[in-house]
Amino acid sequence: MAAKARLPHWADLVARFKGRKVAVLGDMAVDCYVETRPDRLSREAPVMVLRYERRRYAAGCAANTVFNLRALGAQAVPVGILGKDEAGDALVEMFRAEGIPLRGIVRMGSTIVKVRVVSGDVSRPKQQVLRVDVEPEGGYGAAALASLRGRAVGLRGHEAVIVSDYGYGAATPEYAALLRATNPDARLSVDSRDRLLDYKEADLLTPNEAEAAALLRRRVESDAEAELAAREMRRRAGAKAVLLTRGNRGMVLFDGKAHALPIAGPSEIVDPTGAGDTVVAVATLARIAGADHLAAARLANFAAGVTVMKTGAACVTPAELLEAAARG
Amino acid sequence: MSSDLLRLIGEMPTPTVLVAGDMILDRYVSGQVDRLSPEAPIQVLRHEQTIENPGGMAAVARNLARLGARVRLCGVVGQDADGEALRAALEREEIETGAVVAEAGRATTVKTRYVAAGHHARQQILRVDRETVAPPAPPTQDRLLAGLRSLLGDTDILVLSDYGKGVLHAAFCRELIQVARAQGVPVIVDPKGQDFSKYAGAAAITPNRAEAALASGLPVTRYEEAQAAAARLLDRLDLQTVFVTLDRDGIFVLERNGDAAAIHTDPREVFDVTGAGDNVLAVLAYALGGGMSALHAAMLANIAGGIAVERFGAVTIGWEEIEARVAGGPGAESKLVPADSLARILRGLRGAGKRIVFTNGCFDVLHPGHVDLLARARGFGDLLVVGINDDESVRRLKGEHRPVNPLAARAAVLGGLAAVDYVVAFPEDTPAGIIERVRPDVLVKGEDWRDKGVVGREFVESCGGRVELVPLLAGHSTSGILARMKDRGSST
Repeated sequence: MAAKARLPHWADLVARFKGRKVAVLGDMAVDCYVETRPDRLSREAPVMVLRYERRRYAAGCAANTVFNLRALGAQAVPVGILGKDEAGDALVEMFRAEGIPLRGIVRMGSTIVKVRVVSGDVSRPKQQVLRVDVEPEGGYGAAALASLRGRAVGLRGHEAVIVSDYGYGAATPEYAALLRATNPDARLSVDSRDRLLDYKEADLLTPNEAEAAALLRRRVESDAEAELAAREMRRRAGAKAVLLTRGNRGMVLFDGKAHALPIAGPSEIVDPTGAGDTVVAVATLARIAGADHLAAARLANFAAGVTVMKTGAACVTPAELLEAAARG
Repeated sequence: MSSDLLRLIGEMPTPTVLVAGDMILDRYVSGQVDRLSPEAPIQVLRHEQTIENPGGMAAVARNLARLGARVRLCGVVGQDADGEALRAALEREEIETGAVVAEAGRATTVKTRYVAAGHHARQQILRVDRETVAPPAPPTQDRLLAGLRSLLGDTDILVLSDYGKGVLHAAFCRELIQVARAQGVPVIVDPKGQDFSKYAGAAAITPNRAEAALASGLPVTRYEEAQAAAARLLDRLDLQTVFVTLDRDGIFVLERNGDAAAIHTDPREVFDVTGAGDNVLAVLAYALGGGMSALHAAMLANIAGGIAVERFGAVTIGWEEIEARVAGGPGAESKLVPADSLARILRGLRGAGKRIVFTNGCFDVLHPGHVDLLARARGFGDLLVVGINDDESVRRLKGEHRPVNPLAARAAVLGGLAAVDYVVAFPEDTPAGIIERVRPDVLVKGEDWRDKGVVGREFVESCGGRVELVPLLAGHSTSGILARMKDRGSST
C-alpha cells in the first residue's frame, strides 16, 4: 500500500525535471577509453602488451554532471574551460549533439583528459589496467580564467547553480558568487574535492567520505562519525543540508536532523566512476522541482544505485530512475 | 687494428641509403606514478611528456640519419594523425619521405609505451600496440615500387627492414630485390619469420640467433653452430654475406668466399635491449654502403649494439661514440687517434659536459717531469688529450738525431699512463692547428713558458677556455738523459 502510494509521487517529481535551467560551473574533462585486448608479454620489459582495438571519448568531471542533467530532461548550461585540441573538439561535439548550449564554454590551452586503458576479451571481462591523467601544465592560465569570469557574469535565468570543483581551478567560490549574483533565485549545490567549506550558504553540499575526512582532518568511517561529519560541515559552511555519500555504506543526509539512507540496489558495484556527478545532478533537480532535502536525497540514492552498475561515468534516464525508485 | 678502423671510418664516403619496409610510430607516454586510482586497483600515471619517434624500419632510418647518411624512406602509413606524427618525426631528422605512401583505410602502426619516470629509475609499465598487419593494396604497391625505382639511381644500398606487418610480403619483397639487383644496388635485409626464401638474391641478411635457427633448421648456440647455420642460409639464398647477431656473444660473419669471423662483445651492463638491433643494422648498412668490408662493418656494428644496450629506450648512436669506443676499447693497442676521429669524439664528449684538457710536446724519452706534468694537467678537467709532434717535425725542431723513439713508440708509452686519455699526432712545428681542432677548455704548459708566448692561448681564451702553467720538477730533462747516456756510452 505504502509503496504503491509513493510511485506517482516520484513520477510527478521526475516529470518536473524537464526544461529546468541549471548552470554547471566547474572542471570539464574528457574521459578517453582506450579499449584493448590482452596479447602477450613484452620482450623488452616485464610488462603486458595489449592490442589496441578502439578509442572512445566520454564526458568526465563537471561535463559528466552536465550530461546527467541533460539525460533527465533538464536544460544544462556548462560553464568551464576546454582546450583547443582533439579532446576538446570531441566534447564540444558531444555537447552539440545533445543540444547543450556552449555560451559558458571558453576554448583555450589544453583539455583535461583522463585516459583509461581497459582490457579484456571473450574469456576475460573488461577491466581497467592503467589510468593516465593529462592535465594542463601550470593550470588553465590567467587568460582562460579571466575569460571564464566574463562568461560567468553574463549567464542569467538559472534556477540552480551546481559547482563541480575537481580542483583544477575553473570553479572558485568567487565565480560561484558571481553566478549567484546574476541568478539571485538559484539554489546552489556544491561538489568540491578540496574546498567544500569555502562555498558558503549552499542549498546542498555533496561530499564523499574521503573528502569529508580530508577536510575535517579526522576519520569518517562509522555511522556516528559520518553523521557528526555531515553536521559539522553543514554548520561550518552555513549550508542548508549536507548529503554525505559513503560508497556501499549508503548515504547520510543532515538537514538539521540526521537521516541514514542505506544503499539502493546490489552492493557489488561495477564502476563507481562519476557516481558523485549523478548524485548532485539528481538531488539538485529534485530540489528545484519542489522536493524537500530528504526526498531529493532518496531519489539521488536511487540514481547512484543505477549508475554504479554501469561502466564508466554514466547517466541515468528518467525511466531507469523511476524503475529503481519503484524497487525501493 | 683500432687505428686502422679509425682511419677507415675517417675515409669512408657518406652513403645514400634507401630504407624500405614496415614503418612504426614509437610513442613514449611518461610521467609520475604517485597514487592509486579511486575507481579501480590500478596505478594513475600523471602525464608529463609524450615523445614520438620513428620506429620499425623508420628507426633504422633515424639511426642512419644520425650517423650522417643521406636517408630516404619507402613505406606505408595510414591517412591519420599518427601517420602525420610519424612523417613529422622523420622530417625532424631530415629523412626524405617522398616515397612514403599514406594509404586510405589503413591505420598507422603505433606502439605506445607507458613509462613511470619518477624519483626512481625509469620503468616501462605497459605497452599498447595498434597494428595493421596486411599487405598494402595493389595501387599502393605500385606507388611504392615507382617511388623505389625513381630513387635507386643514386642509392648506394637498399635496406629492407621486415617487421612482419605486411609491407614486405613474399611477392613484393622478391620484386624489390630484383629491381635493386638489376640496378646494381646491394640489398641488406633484416629478416622476419621462418621462411627466408623471399630474401633470395640479397647481398646480406642479418638474422638474430632465433631467426637464424628457425630459418636454417639448425641450432645456434655456439659459434660453430652459427657458422653452419650461416653457411646453409648463404647457399640457399645466394647471398654474399650473412651476419648472425648473437646478442651477448656479438656477431658472427660469414662471407661467400668462406671467410668467417666471430666478433665478440665486451661484457657490459645491459639496461635495455629496445632498438639495439636497429642500431646494428644501421651501422652495417652505412658501412657496407660506404664501401667497407663485411668484417669491418660487423666490428663497428657490434660496438654500436654494445653502446645501445647500455641506454634506456631506443637510442641513436653517432660515429663519435663508436670511434670513442674503438679508440678506448680493450682491443685498442694505443690511445693514438687520428685528428679527424678525435675531433668527432671530443664533440660528443663536450656535448656530454666533459671538460677537455690539452697539452703537447715531443715526449721522446719519458721522465718523471713528464709524468708529473701530465698528472697535474689531467687534474684540470675530465679528460686529457696529448698532442705529440710527428717524427718529421721532431727532427726539424730537435735535430737529426731525434726522435730517439718513433711516433708509434712514443704514443704507446704515453698511452700507458693513466692520466692520458687520447694521444694525437700533428705534423706542424707548432700545435696551433691541432689546438683549434681539439678546442680544449684548459691548455696546459710547463712554467718555463711563462715569459714566452703560449701558442694557442688566444684561440683557447676566445672560446672561453683558459691556460694553466704548471711548475716543473727540477732536475729532469730529455736532453739531460740523452747526454748522460752518451757519456756512459763513451766511457765504456
